[in-house]
Amino acid sequence: MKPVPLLLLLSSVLLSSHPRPAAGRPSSFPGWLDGTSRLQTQQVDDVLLRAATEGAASDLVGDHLLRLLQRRDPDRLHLLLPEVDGAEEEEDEALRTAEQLLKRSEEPPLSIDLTFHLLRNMIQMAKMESQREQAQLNRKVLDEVGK
Amino acid sequence: MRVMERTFRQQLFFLLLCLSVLKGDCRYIENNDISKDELFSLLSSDLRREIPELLMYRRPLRCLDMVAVEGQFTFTAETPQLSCAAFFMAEPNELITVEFDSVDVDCSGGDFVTMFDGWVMKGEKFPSSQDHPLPLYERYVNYCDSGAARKSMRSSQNVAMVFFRVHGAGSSFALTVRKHVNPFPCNVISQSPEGSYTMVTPQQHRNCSFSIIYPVAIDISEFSLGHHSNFPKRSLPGCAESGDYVQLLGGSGIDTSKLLPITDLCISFTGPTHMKIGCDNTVVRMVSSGRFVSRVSFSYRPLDSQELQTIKLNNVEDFCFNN
Repeated sequence: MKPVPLLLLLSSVLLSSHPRPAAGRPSSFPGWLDGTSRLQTQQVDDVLLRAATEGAASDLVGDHLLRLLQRRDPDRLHLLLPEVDGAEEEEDEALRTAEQLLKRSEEPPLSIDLTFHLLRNMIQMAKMESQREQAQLNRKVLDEVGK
Repeated sequence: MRVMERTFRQQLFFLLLCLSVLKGDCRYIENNDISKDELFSLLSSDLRREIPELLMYRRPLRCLDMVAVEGQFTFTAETPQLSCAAFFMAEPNELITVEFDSVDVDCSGGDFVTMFDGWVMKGEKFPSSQDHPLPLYERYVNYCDSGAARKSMRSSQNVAMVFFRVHGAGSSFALTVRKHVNPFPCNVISQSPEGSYTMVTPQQHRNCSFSIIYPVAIDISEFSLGHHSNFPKRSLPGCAESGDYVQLLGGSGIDTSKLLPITDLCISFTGPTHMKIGCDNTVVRMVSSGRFVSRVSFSYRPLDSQELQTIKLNNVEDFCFNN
Protein backbone atom coordinates (compact mmCIF):
# COMPACT_ATOMS: atom_id res chain seq x y z
CA MET A 1 0.00 0.00 0.00
CA LYS A 2 1.29 3.45 -0.85
CA PRO A 3 2.38 5.26 2.29
CA VAL A 4 1.59 8.78 1.13
CA PRO A 5 -2.20 8.48 0.72
CA LEU A 6 -2.32 6.53 3.96
CA LEU A 7 -0.46 9.32 5.73
CA LEU A 8 -2.81 11.89 4.27
CA LEU A 9 -5.80 9.90 5.42
CA LEU A 10 -4.38 9.48 8.90
CA SER A 11 -3.54 13.14 9.27
CA SER A 12 -7.00 14.18 8.12
CA VAL A 13 -8.58 11.79 10.60
CA LEU A 14 -6.44 13.07 13.47
CA LEU A 15 -7.10 16.69 12.65
CA SER A 16 -10.82 16.25 12.21
CA SER A 17 -11.20 14.35 15.43
CA HIS A 18 -10.10 17.36 17.43
CA PRO A 19 -12.61 17.47 20.26
CA ARG A 20 -14.58 20.65 20.49
CA PRO A 21 -14.57 22.16 23.95
CA ALA A 22 -18.00 21.46 25.28
CA ALA A 23 -19.54 24.22 27.24
CA GLY A 24 -22.84 22.43 27.24
CA ARG A 25 -24.50 19.55 25.56
CA PRO A 26 -26.79 20.26 22.64
CA SER A 27 -30.31 20.37 23.93
CA SER A 28 -32.44 17.57 22.68
CA PHE A 29 -36.03 16.92 23.42
CA PRO A 30 -36.70 14.29 26.07
CA GLY A 31 -36.82 10.81 24.64
CA TRP A 32 -40.41 10.12 25.56
CA LEU A 33 -41.73 12.86 23.31
CA ASP A 34 -40.28 11.26 20.20
CA GLY A 35 -42.29 8.11 20.84
CA THR A 36 -45.62 9.59 19.79
CA SER A 37 -45.37 9.97 16.06
CA ARG A 38 -48.38 12.26 15.79
CA LEU A 39 -46.72 14.96 17.83
CA GLN A 40 -45.19 17.75 15.81
CA THR A 41 -42.29 19.40 17.58
CA GLN A 42 -43.22 22.63 15.86
CA GLN A 43 -46.56 22.64 17.63
CA VAL A 44 -45.01 21.89 20.98
CA ASP A 45 -42.66 24.80 20.45
CA ASP A 46 -45.60 27.08 19.73
CA VAL A 47 -47.50 25.89 22.73
CA LEU A 48 -44.48 26.25 24.97
CA LEU A 49 -43.86 29.75 23.69
CA ARG A 50 -47.48 30.66 24.31
CA ALA A 51 -47.38 29.20 27.81
CA ALA A 52 -44.14 30.96 28.63
CA THR A 53 -45.29 34.35 27.42
CA GLU A 54 -48.68 34.05 29.05
CA GLY A 55 -46.89 33.74 32.32
CA ALA A 56 -48.42 30.41 33.24
CA ALA A 57 -45.20 29.49 34.96
CA SER A 58 -42.80 31.44 37.12
CA ASP A 59 -40.23 33.80 35.62
CA LEU A 60 -37.50 31.28 36.11
CA VAL A 61 -39.28 28.60 34.17
CA GLY A 62 -40.13 31.07 31.45
CA ASP A 63 -36.47 32.03 31.12
CA HIS A 64 -35.52 28.41 31.00
CA LEU A 65 -38.03 27.68 28.29
CA LEU A 66 -37.04 30.70 26.28
CA ARG A 67 -33.43 29.63 26.47
CA LEU A 68 -34.39 26.15 25.35
CA LEU A 69 -36.35 27.49 22.43
CA GLN A 70 -33.63 29.93 21.53
CA ARG A 71 -31.20 27.11 21.24
CA ARG A 72 -33.53 25.11 19.08
CA ASP A 73 -34.64 27.79 16.67
CA PRO A 74 -33.92 31.45 17.28
CA ASP A 75 -36.29 32.65 14.56
CA ARG A 76 -39.37 31.33 16.20
CA LEU A 77 -38.83 33.46 19.26
CA HIS A 78 -40.42 36.36 17.44
CA LEU A 79 -43.60 34.47 16.91
CA LEU A 80 -45.88 35.47 19.70
CA LEU A 81 -49.01 34.16 18.13
CA PRO A 82 -49.14 30.43 17.64
CA GLU A 83 -49.96 29.22 14.18
CA VAL A 84 -53.19 27.39 13.90
CA ASP A 85 -51.73 24.32 12.33
CA GLY A 86 -53.43 21.00 12.20
CA ALA A 87 -56.39 19.57 13.98
CA GLU A 88 -57.67 20.82 17.35
CA GLU A 89 -56.96 17.54 19.09
CA GLU A 90 -53.32 17.58 18.06
CA GLU A 91 -52.94 20.99 19.58
CA ASP A 92 -54.58 19.81 22.79
CA GLU A 93 -52.18 16.94 23.01
CA ALA A 94 -49.29 19.31 22.41
CA LEU A 95 -50.63 21.53 25.17
CA ARG A 96 -50.80 18.60 27.55
CA THR A 97 -47.24 17.50 26.86
CA ALA A 98 -46.10 21.09 27.17
CA GLU A 99 -47.73 21.26 30.59
CA GLN A 100 -45.97 18.09 31.56
CA LEU A 101 -42.71 19.52 30.37
CA LEU A 102 -43.34 22.67 32.39
CA LYS A 103 -44.04 20.56 35.46
CA ARG A 104 -40.85 18.62 34.92
CA SER A 105 -38.79 21.74 34.62
CA GLU A 106 -40.20 22.99 37.91
CA GLU A 107 -38.55 20.15 39.78
CA PRO A 108 -37.27 19.20 42.34
CA PRO A 109 -40.05 16.75 43.15
CA LEU A 110 -38.79 16.63 46.68
CA SER A 111 -36.47 18.71 48.73
CA ILE A 112 -35.27 17.46 52.03
CA ASP A 113 -35.03 20.11 54.75
CA LEU A 114 -31.75 18.99 56.18
CA THR A 115 -29.76 21.21 58.43
CA PHE A 116 -26.03 21.42 57.83
CA HIS A 117 -25.46 19.84 61.22
CA LEU A 118 -27.44 16.77 60.22
CA LEU A 119 -25.79 16.64 56.82
CA ARG A 120 -22.34 16.74 58.40
CA ASN A 121 -23.21 13.92 60.77
CA MET A 122 -24.53 11.82 57.92
CA ILE A 123 -21.35 12.41 55.94
CA GLN A 124 -19.23 11.36 58.93
CA MET A 125 -21.21 8.14 59.33
CA ALA A 126 -20.97 7.39 55.62
CA LYS A 127 -17.22 7.95 55.68
CA MET A 128 -16.83 5.57 58.61
CA GLU A 129 -18.87 2.97 56.77
CA SER A 130 -16.70 3.44 53.70
CA GLN A 131 -13.51 3.03 55.71
CA ARG A 132 -14.85 -0.08 57.42
CA GLU A 133 -15.78 -1.55 54.09
CA GLN A 134 -12.40 -0.74 52.60
CA ALA A 135 -10.72 -2.46 55.56
CA GLN A 136 -12.91 -5.54 55.01
CA LEU A 137 -12.08 -5.56 51.33
CA ASN A 138 -8.38 -5.27 52.04
CA ARG A 139 -8.60 -8.14 54.48
CA LYS A 140 -10.39 -10.35 51.94
CA VAL A 141 -7.86 -9.52 49.25
CA LEU A 142 -4.93 -10.23 51.53
CA ASP A 143 -6.51 -13.50 52.62
CA GLU A 144 -6.81 -14.51 48.99
CA VAL A 145 -3.24 -13.54 48.28
CA GLY A 146 -2.01 -15.42 51.33
CA LYS A 147 -3.56 -18.71 50.21
CA MET B 1 9.49 -5.83 2.20
CA ARG B 2 10.75 -5.37 5.75
CA VAL B 3 12.75 -2.28 4.76
CA MET B 4 9.65 -0.79 3.20
CA GLU B 5 7.62 -1.44 6.38
CA ARG B 6 10.27 0.15 8.55
CA THR B 7 10.45 3.33 6.54
CA PHE B 8 6.66 3.51 6.50
CA ARG B 9 6.59 3.24 10.28
CA GLN B 10 9.24 5.90 10.61
CA GLN B 11 7.24 8.20 8.40
CA LEU B 12 4.17 7.54 10.48
CA PHE B 13 5.91 8.35 13.73
CA PHE B 14 7.39 11.47 12.24
CA LEU B 15 3.97 12.58 11.08
CA LEU B 16 2.44 12.01 14.49
CA LEU B 17 5.28 13.89 16.14
CA CYS B 18 4.81 16.83 13.79
CA LEU B 19 1.09 16.95 14.40
CA SER B 20 1.41 16.94 18.16
CA VAL B 21 4.10 19.60 18.09
CA LEU B 22 2.08 21.82 15.77
CA LYS B 23 -0.99 21.46 17.95
CA GLY B 24 1.07 22.85 20.79
CA ASP B 25 -1.60 22.97 23.48
CA CYS B 26 -2.09 19.26 23.55
CA ARG B 27 -0.65 19.10 27.01
CA TYR B 28 -3.90 20.66 28.25
CA ILE B 29 -6.69 18.22 27.75
CA GLU B 30 -9.44 20.39 26.28
CA ASN B 31 -12.24 17.96 26.06
CA ASN B 32 -13.55 17.65 29.55
CA ASP B 33 -16.57 15.57 28.59
CA ILE B 34 -16.58 12.33 30.42
CA SER B 35 -18.95 10.78 27.91
CA LYS B 36 -16.64 10.79 24.94
CA ASP B 37 -17.18 11.00 21.21
CA GLU B 38 -17.29 7.69 19.45
CA LEU B 39 -13.77 7.89 18.06
CA PHE B 40 -12.17 8.41 21.44
CA SER B 41 -14.21 5.75 23.14
CA LEU B 42 -12.16 3.26 21.20
CA LEU B 43 -8.93 4.74 22.41
CA SER B 44 -9.88 5.65 25.96
CA SER B 45 -8.96 3.41 28.79
CA ASP B 46 -12.09 4.06 30.80
CA LEU B 47 -12.93 0.45 31.42
CA ARG B 48 -15.76 0.06 33.86
CA ARG B 49 -14.46 -1.89 36.75
CA GLU B 50 -16.48 -5.05 37.12
CA ILE B 51 -16.85 -5.74 40.80
CA PRO B 52 -16.96 -9.48 41.37
CA GLU B 53 -20.16 -10.62 43.05
CA LEU B 54 -18.36 -11.84 46.15
CA LEU B 55 -16.83 -8.47 46.89
CA MET B 56 -19.93 -6.38 46.16
CA TYR B 57 -21.04 -4.53 49.24
CA ARG B 58 -24.72 -4.85 49.98
CA ARG B 59 -26.97 -3.28 52.51
CA PRO B 60 -30.54 -2.03 52.80
CA LEU B 61 -31.22 1.59 51.99
CA ARG B 62 -32.98 3.79 54.52
CA CYS B 63 -35.51 6.49 53.77
CA LEU B 64 -32.93 9.17 54.61
CA ASP B 65 -29.49 7.88 53.84
CA MET B 66 -25.99 8.92 52.93
CA VAL B 67 -23.79 6.53 50.99
CA ALA B 68 -20.07 6.97 50.38
CA VAL B 69 -19.23 3.45 49.31
CA GLU B 70 -19.78 1.40 46.17
CA GLY B 71 -22.22 -1.44 46.24
CA GLN B 72 -25.79 -2.52 45.88
CA PHE B 73 -28.49 -0.91 48.00
CA THR B 74 -32.05 -2.14 48.28
CA PHE B 75 -34.96 -0.20 49.68
CA THR B 76 -38.04 -2.07 50.84
CA ALA B 77 -40.99 -0.11 52.07
CA GLU B 78 -42.64 -1.46 55.17
CA THR B 79 -44.95 1.51 55.45
CA PRO B 80 -45.79 4.18 52.87
CA GLN B 81 -42.85 6.56 52.62
CA LEU B 82 -43.70 9.78 50.91
CA SER B 83 -40.50 11.79 50.95
CA CYS B 84 -37.25 9.92 50.98
CA ALA B 85 -33.82 10.76 49.68
CA ALA B 86 -30.53 8.93 49.51
CA PHE B 87 -27.44 11.08 49.10
CA PHE B 88 -24.35 9.66 47.39
CA MET B 89 -20.90 11.05 47.88
CA ALA B 90 -17.45 10.22 46.57
CA GLU B 91 -13.92 11.56 46.78
CA PRO B 92 -13.34 14.93 45.07
CA ASN B 93 -11.74 13.31 42.04
CA GLU B 94 -14.43 10.70 41.51
CA LEU B 95 -17.74 10.48 39.71
CA ILE B 96 -20.71 8.38 40.73
CA THR B 97 -22.76 6.09 38.53
CA VAL B 98 -26.16 5.06 39.85
CA GLU B 99 -27.99 2.25 38.12
CA PHE B 100 -31.45 0.80 38.65
CA ASP B 101 -31.19 -2.94 39.17
CA SER B 102 -34.79 -3.84 39.81
CA VAL B 103 -37.59 -1.46 40.51
CA ASP B 104 -40.94 -2.64 41.79
CA VAL B 105 -43.00 0.45 42.48
CA ASP B 106 -46.47 1.53 41.50
CA CYS B 107 -45.79 4.31 39.01
CA SER B 108 -49.43 4.94 38.21
CA GLY B 109 -50.20 5.19 41.92
CA GLY B 110 -47.98 8.22 42.35
CA ASP B 111 -44.74 6.45 43.24
CA PHE B 112 -41.49 7.63 41.75
CA VAL B 113 -37.80 6.90 41.94
CA THR B 114 -35.78 9.76 40.53
CA MET B 115 -32.02 10.07 40.23
CA PHE B 116 -30.56 13.55 40.33
CA ASP B 117 -27.17 14.74 39.16
CA GLY B 118 -26.21 16.80 42.19
CA TRP B 119 -27.76 17.46 45.59
CA VAL B 120 -30.93 19.26 46.52
CA MET B 121 -31.31 20.59 50.03
CA LYS B 122 -33.88 23.05 51.30
CA GLY B 123 -34.93 23.78 47.76
CA GLU B 124 -31.41 24.68 46.63
CA LYS B 125 -29.47 22.73 44.04
CA PHE B 126 -25.82 21.94 43.98
CA PRO B 127 -24.19 22.56 41.53
CA SER B 128 -26.19 25.63 40.62
CA SER B 129 -27.74 25.87 37.18
CA GLN B 130 -25.00 28.30 36.16
CA ASP B 131 -22.19 25.93 37.08
CA HIS B 132 -23.61 22.69 35.76
CA PRO B 133 -22.99 21.65 32.15
CA LEU B 134 -26.42 20.07 31.69
CA PRO B 135 -29.80 21.82 31.62
CA LEU B 136 -32.03 21.11 34.59
CA TYR B 137 -34.38 18.59 32.98
CA GLU B 138 -31.45 16.45 31.88
CA ARG B 139 -30.22 16.14 35.43
CA TYR B 140 -33.26 14.14 36.50
CA VAL B 141 -33.80 10.52 35.55
CA ASN B 142 -37.20 9.32 36.71
CA TYR B 143 -37.74 5.61 36.49
CA CYS B 144 -41.47 6.11 36.01
CA ASP B 145 -41.04 8.52 33.10
CA SER B 146 -38.29 6.83 31.19
CA GLY B 147 -38.94 3.21 32.12
CA ALA B 148 -36.49 0.92 30.44
CA ALA B 149 -35.04 3.70 28.30
CA ARG B 150 -32.65 5.20 30.83
CA LYS B 151 -31.59 2.98 33.65
CA SER B 152 -28.41 4.60 34.82
CA MET B 153 -26.97 8.00 35.41
CA ARG B 154 -23.43 9.19 35.70
CA SER B 155 -22.95 12.30 37.77
CA SER B 156 -20.87 15.26 36.65
CA GLN B 157 -19.30 15.77 40.06
CA ASN B 158 -18.63 13.83 43.23
CA VAL B 159 -22.20 13.99 44.53
CA ALA B 160 -25.50 12.54 43.35
CA MET B 161 -28.79 11.60 44.93
CA VAL B 162 -31.96 9.61 44.54
CA PHE B 163 -35.42 10.84 45.54
CA PHE B 164 -38.16 8.33 46.03
CA ARG B 165 -41.74 8.01 47.13
CA VAL B 166 -43.57 4.74 47.62
CA HIS B 167 -47.16 4.46 48.71
CA GLY B 168 -47.55 0.73 49.01
CA ALA B 169 -45.91 -1.45 51.63
CA GLY B 170 -43.83 -4.12 49.95
CA SER B 171 -42.68 -1.94 47.06
CA SER B 172 -38.95 -2.08 46.63
CA PHE B 173 -36.10 -1.13 44.37
CA ALA B 174 -32.40 -1.83 44.15
CA LEU B 175 -29.60 0.44 43.02
CA THR B 176 -25.98 -0.23 42.16
CA VAL B 177 -23.55 2.55 42.91
CA ARG B 178 -20.12 2.71 41.32
CA LYS B 179 -17.36 5.26 41.38
CA HIS B 180 -15.10 6.35 38.52
CA VAL B 181 -12.04 8.54 38.45
CA ASN B 182 -12.53 12.04 37.13
CA PRO B 183 -9.40 13.59 35.62
CA PHE B 184 -10.69 17.16 35.87
CA PRO B 185 -12.96 17.56 38.85
CA CYS B 186 -15.20 20.60 38.79
CA ASN B 187 -17.78 21.31 41.47
CA VAL B 188 -16.75 19.37 44.53
CA ILE B 189 -18.25 19.04 47.98
CA SER B 190 -15.58 18.28 50.52
CA GLN B 191 -16.13 15.21 52.65
CA SER B 192 -14.13 16.46 55.59
CA PRO B 193 -13.67 19.74 57.44
CA GLU B 194 -9.93 19.77 56.90
CA GLY B 195 -7.64 19.12 54.02
CA SER B 196 -6.02 20.76 51.07
CA TYR B 197 -6.89 20.93 47.45
CA THR B 198 -5.66 22.30 44.16
CA MET B 199 -8.26 23.30 41.64
CA VAL B 200 -7.21 23.46 38.01
CA THR B 201 -9.46 24.61 35.25
CA PRO B 202 -8.49 23.48 31.79
CA GLN B 203 -8.87 25.94 28.99
CA GLN B 204 -12.63 25.99 29.05
CA HIS B 205 -15.24 28.60 29.66
CA ARG B 206 -16.69 27.10 32.78
CA ASN B 207 -16.89 27.96 36.44
CA CYS B 208 -15.87 25.41 39.04
CA SER B 209 -16.40 25.49 42.76
CA PHE B 210 -15.20 23.68 45.83
CA SER B 211 -17.65 23.65 48.75
CA ILE B 212 -16.60 23.12 52.32
CA ILE B 213 -19.73 22.70 54.37
CA TYR B 214 -18.07 23.76 57.63
CA PRO B 215 -16.84 26.97 59.18
CA VAL B 216 -13.16 26.91 58.35
CA ALA B 217 -9.94 28.86 58.46
CA ILE B 218 -8.85 28.87 54.85
CA ASP B 219 -5.36 29.48 53.60
CA ILE B 220 -4.95 30.18 49.89
CA SER B 221 -1.35 29.43 49.13
CA GLU B 222 -1.07 29.73 45.41
CA PHE B 223 -3.09 31.24 42.67
CA SER B 224 -2.00 31.59 39.08
CA LEU B 225 -3.86 32.57 35.97
CA GLY B 226 -2.46 30.81 32.95
CA HIS B 227 0.81 31.82 31.38
CA HIS B 228 2.46 34.94 32.68
CA SER B 229 3.32 35.96 29.14
CA ASN B 230 -0.34 35.95 28.17
CA PHE B 231 -1.56 37.89 31.16
CA PRO B 232 -1.52 41.65 30.52
CA LYS B 233 0.87 42.99 33.12
CA ARG B 234 0.20 46.69 32.70
CA SER B 235 -3.53 46.79 33.22
CA LEU B 236 -4.79 45.46 36.51
CA PRO B 237 -8.49 45.36 35.83
CA GLY B 238 -11.17 44.85 38.39
CA CYS B 239 -12.09 41.28 38.88
CA ALA B 240 -15.25 41.23 36.85
CA GLU B 241 -13.52 42.60 33.76
CA SER B 242 -10.53 40.34 33.89
CA GLY B 243 -12.69 37.32 33.19
CA ASP B 244 -10.57 34.90 35.20
CA TYR B 245 -10.68 35.17 38.95
CA VAL B 246 -11.27 33.25 42.13
CA GLN B 247 -14.20 34.02 44.38
CA LEU B 248 -14.55 33.18 48.00
CA LEU B 249 -18.21 32.78 48.90
CA GLY B 250 -19.99 32.06 52.12
CA GLY B 251 -23.48 31.49 53.38
CA SER B 252 -25.89 28.92 54.66
CA GLY B 253 -27.08 27.09 51.58
CA ILE B 254 -25.52 24.76 49.05
CA ASP B 255 -26.44 26.76 45.95
CA THR B 256 -23.28 28.67 45.07
CA SER B 257 -25.20 31.26 43.09
CA LYS B 258 -27.09 32.27 46.23
CA LEU B 259 -24.06 32.74 48.47
CA LEU B 260 -22.57 36.08 49.31
CA PRO B 261 -19.10 36.93 48.02
CA ILE B 262 -16.52 37.40 50.71
CA THR B 263 -13.65 38.37 48.47
CA ASP B 264 -12.35 38.10 44.93
CA LEU B 265 -8.81 37.28 43.87
CA CYS B 266 -7.77 38.26 40.40
CA ILE B 267 -4.07 38.90 40.43
CA SER B 268 -1.66 36.00 40.44
CA PHE B 269 0.30 35.69 43.63
CA THR B 270 2.21 33.09 45.55
CA GLY B 271 1.95 34.43 49.08
CA PRO B 272 -0.56 32.95 51.48
CA THR B 273 -3.92 34.53 52.21
CA HIS B 274 -5.51 33.56 55.50
CA MET B 275 -9.16 33.98 56.22
CA LYS B 276 -11.43 32.72 58.93
CA ILE B 277 -14.92 32.14 57.67
CA GLY B 278 -17.61 31.29 60.14
CA CYS B 279 -20.24 30.44 57.54
CA ASP B 280 -21.99 27.11 57.39
CA ASN B 281 -20.81 26.72 53.82
CA THR B 282 -17.55 28.12 52.47
CA VAL B 283 -17.00 27.94 48.73
CA VAL B 284 -13.93 28.61 46.62
CA ARG B 285 -15.15 29.30 43.12
CA MET B 286 -13.03 29.74 40.05
CA VAL B 287 -14.46 31.75 37.20
CA SER B 288 -12.74 30.97 33.94
CA SER B 289 -13.05 32.71 30.60
CA GLY B 290 -11.46 29.82 28.75
CA ARG B 291 -8.42 31.76 27.64
CA PHE B 292 -6.05 30.56 30.34
CA VAL B 293 -5.38 27.54 32.43
CA SER B 294 -5.81 28.67 36.03
CA ARG B 295 -5.03 26.96 39.26
CA VAL B 296 -5.60 27.74 42.89
CA SER B 297 -4.22 25.83 45.87
CA PHE B 298 -5.66 26.12 49.31
CA SER B 299 -5.85 24.32 52.61
CA TYR B 300 -8.48 24.51 55.30
CA ARG B 301 -9.08 23.45 58.87
CA PRO B 302 -12.20 23.63 60.99
CA LEU B 303 -12.67 26.52 63.38
CA ASP B 304 -12.94 25.63 67.03
CA SER B 305 -15.73 27.00 69.19
CA GLN B 306 -13.60 29.82 70.62
CA GLU B 307 -12.69 31.14 67.19
CA LEU B 308 -16.32 30.95 66.17
CA GLN B 309 -17.31 32.94 69.24
CA THR B 310 -14.72 35.60 68.42
CA ILE B 311 -16.05 35.95 64.90
CA LYS B 312 -19.59 36.34 66.08
CA LEU B 313 -18.64 38.95 68.64
CA ASN B 314 -16.42 40.94 66.28
CA ASN B 315 -18.88 41.20 63.50
CA VAL B 316 -20.60 44.47 62.91
CA GLU B 317 -22.59 43.18 59.98
CA ASP B 318 -24.67 40.11 60.24
CA PHE B 319 -22.31 38.10 58.15
CA CYS B 320 -20.24 35.12 58.92
CA PHE B 321 -16.65 36.01 58.10
CA ASN B 322 -13.74 37.68 59.76
CA ASN B 323 -10.40 38.72 58.35
